[in-house]
Amino acid sequence: MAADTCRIIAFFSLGLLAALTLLVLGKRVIRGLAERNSSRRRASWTEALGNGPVPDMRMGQLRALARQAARRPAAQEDLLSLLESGALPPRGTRREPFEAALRRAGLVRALPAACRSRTAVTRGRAVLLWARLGLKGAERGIEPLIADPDPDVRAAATQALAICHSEEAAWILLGALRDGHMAPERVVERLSGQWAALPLLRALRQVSYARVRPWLAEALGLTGDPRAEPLLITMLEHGGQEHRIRACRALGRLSRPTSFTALSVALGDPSASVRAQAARALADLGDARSVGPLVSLLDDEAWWVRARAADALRALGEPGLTALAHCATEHPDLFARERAAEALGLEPEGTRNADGADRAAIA
Amino acid sequence: MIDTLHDLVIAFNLFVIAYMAAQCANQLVLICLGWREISEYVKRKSLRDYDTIATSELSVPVSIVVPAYNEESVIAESVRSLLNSHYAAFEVVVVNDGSTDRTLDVLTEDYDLVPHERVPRAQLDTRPVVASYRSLSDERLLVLTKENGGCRADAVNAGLRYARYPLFLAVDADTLLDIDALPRLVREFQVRPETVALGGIVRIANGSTVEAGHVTEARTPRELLVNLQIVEYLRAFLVGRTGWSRLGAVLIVSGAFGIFRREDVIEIGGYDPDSFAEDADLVVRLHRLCRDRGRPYRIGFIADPVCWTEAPSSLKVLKSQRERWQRGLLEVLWTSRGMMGRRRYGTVGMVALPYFLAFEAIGPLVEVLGYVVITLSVALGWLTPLVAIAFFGVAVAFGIAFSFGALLVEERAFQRYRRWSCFGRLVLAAGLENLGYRQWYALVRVRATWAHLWQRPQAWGEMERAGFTPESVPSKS
Repeated sequence: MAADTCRIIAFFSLGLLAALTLLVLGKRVIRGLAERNSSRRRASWTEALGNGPVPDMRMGQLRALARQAARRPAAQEDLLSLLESGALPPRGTRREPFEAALRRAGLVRALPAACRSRTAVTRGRAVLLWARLGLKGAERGIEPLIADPDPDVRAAATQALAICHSEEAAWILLGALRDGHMAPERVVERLSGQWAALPLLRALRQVSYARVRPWLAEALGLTGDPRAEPLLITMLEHGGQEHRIRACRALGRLSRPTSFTALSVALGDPSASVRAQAARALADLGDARSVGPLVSLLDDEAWWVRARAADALRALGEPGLTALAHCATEHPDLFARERAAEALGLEPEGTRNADGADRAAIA
Repeated sequence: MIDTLHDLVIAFNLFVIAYMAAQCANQLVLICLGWREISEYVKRKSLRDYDTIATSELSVPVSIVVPAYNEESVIAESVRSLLNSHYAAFEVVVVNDGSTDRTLDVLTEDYDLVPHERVPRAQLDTRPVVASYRSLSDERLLVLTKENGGCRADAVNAGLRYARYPLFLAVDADTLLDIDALPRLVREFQVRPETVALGGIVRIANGSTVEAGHVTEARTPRELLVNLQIVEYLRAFLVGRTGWSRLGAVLIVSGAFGIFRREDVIEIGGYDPDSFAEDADLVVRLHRLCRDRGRPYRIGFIADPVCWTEAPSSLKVLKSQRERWQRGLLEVLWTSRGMMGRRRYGTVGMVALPYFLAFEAIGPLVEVLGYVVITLSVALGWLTPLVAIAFFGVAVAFGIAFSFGALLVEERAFQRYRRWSCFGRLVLAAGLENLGYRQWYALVRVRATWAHLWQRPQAWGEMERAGFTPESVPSKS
């Protein structure tokens, strides 16, 4: 009886091991096959599109591939990776037949349905595909998903809207920022293109966006649009502390010489954070006129402002380094001397020993 | 007398069977949870835009703290690997913990260090920092030299005092980070702001190809001991921690690779320098802090960002390391006894801590006693050899099955070891692990438990390092 039980147990154990070994090996083989299929499919897309004129495009093959993408997640992943790499969609006259093939294969119809799927991954993938394919009306289709309960889908929707590069997409992102659907930083980093500048400028003037104005300023800085400068200067002069900090950062990013005066004035701001940001922004401007105001900040009461001022002087290059060399020995304040010496210490040997004539000039 | 002993032995044998069944059930649940978690993670891969996170000026900056004690053979390569990370805003703070070798000289030569005054940003008790240096070749590098504190925790705390960014990543000096590990970690904090701490997978670099401070091809070495550890790591990370992460009850965020919110760690006083398992201790205290405050939080694990480390290739070093781990576990269970079985601490108090006590702390003792008692039973004729062999066989079969489960998860999700030869070695190691190594490890843990109960001193021990050579990490026999 005991021997029988033992035999059964032994057979069971061996069977379990054999089954698991087969499972692990099988998984490896299946994965290998799936990878091979995937690379074949991607090659088929590029082959079907070809490089030549429209008549050379293999429409039947395109439709078959699009049909697969409408139904199978693996095919969608392949299409998405091709779109991300820039191999698709085709440009110019070849785009129209390409879109027609997608429509006939049912892929265009499948995307809105996928956006309503119960599976988060399907929804997320659909918004990215929709945006990357550059199909009309993508923004409206993606909009509801900006408030999706799944954080990954919300992030994908934000990314998709940024891919759309349209004013409509910018307004939807601004709405998400205002309504708090996403962390402000995540929306702002998506609004960094020139396409977002006009909606941002308009939103800055609207009362409904008052709460998120500092973030709008931040985004405007990222767009690099010079039209933002006067608004940002006004914000720096009259806004609250958070507004002034963001305005300084944005003006630094815009790097317009005309911001110099406003930023120099901000070096005397009662808030140490604003002073530190203004110093950094002046470094971004790269204007030699900043040397004097920055030197005056080397004995600021806050140590990090002194550090930012020293860093800014270093970033200004030759004139800043000469001033630092002078301050390291001649500045009446001990902290200022230390900061200057430390900043100089980070420069290579040659630059550190500023020439005597320059020092004399600064003195 | 004999009858009583007979009854006791039989009762104990039955207890061991029940215990083994319970452990198998736990492992099975963890495998299922780990599989689900990783499948979900892999499926969502295409939704994640790591490039934007890596390049955005608005991504959360990270301070990478690297404690280093006598790490001259690996420190330069390790720092290079960290500085090459694909991420916009980070600093590397190397804490030279009173090294007696050329650690500081190597860094000075390789990175042009110059003295630099840095103001501490937080108040934590550590041994004094005697000097700080900045690099002329890369301003993101800060090197602190401090008096030796005798433990890793003191060095990390010193780095934490000087770190300036809101997230800090603690990594060992003998580790290499995957180039895109930072954006993957930071993303979790950005998408789920309630995240307090997060662990990534630590993989073994022995035998792998290393170029420019990064592992370019994962390979397994020829040494069986290292391959056994690779399988162990895969099981611990891909099955164990992922499963616990799914339950929201991660107890260990590896000290070799874990990212934390700086202000929370400072609030609880940083790492405990008196602990053998300072990483687990920190995580348990973080759980307690968040639960006591009733604040929503997440301490999790993600299996994608990879950190590569050099595994011990000699039994002596491995034994010392594992003894330390076991004593650390016992210590953490003791210090967190107030949380155990209390509903207020959720899955941590009700599931994770009791599990670790019943199966991780006491498990080796039951296993070793089981071997002894079963052998005794056979010798006394109370058990037929066939039944004993069957019993042992089932234990081994299930052990192998769980290691295979880990390999299955690896194959499903990442398939890092592309070569069939490497895969074959892992399959072999998974098979052999339970025939000798597991029993040796159980003995080591029992010894460590004994030493801990009698409060015998434990030295940290020195790891013999081969270093990361450009081609590969050679594995010493």
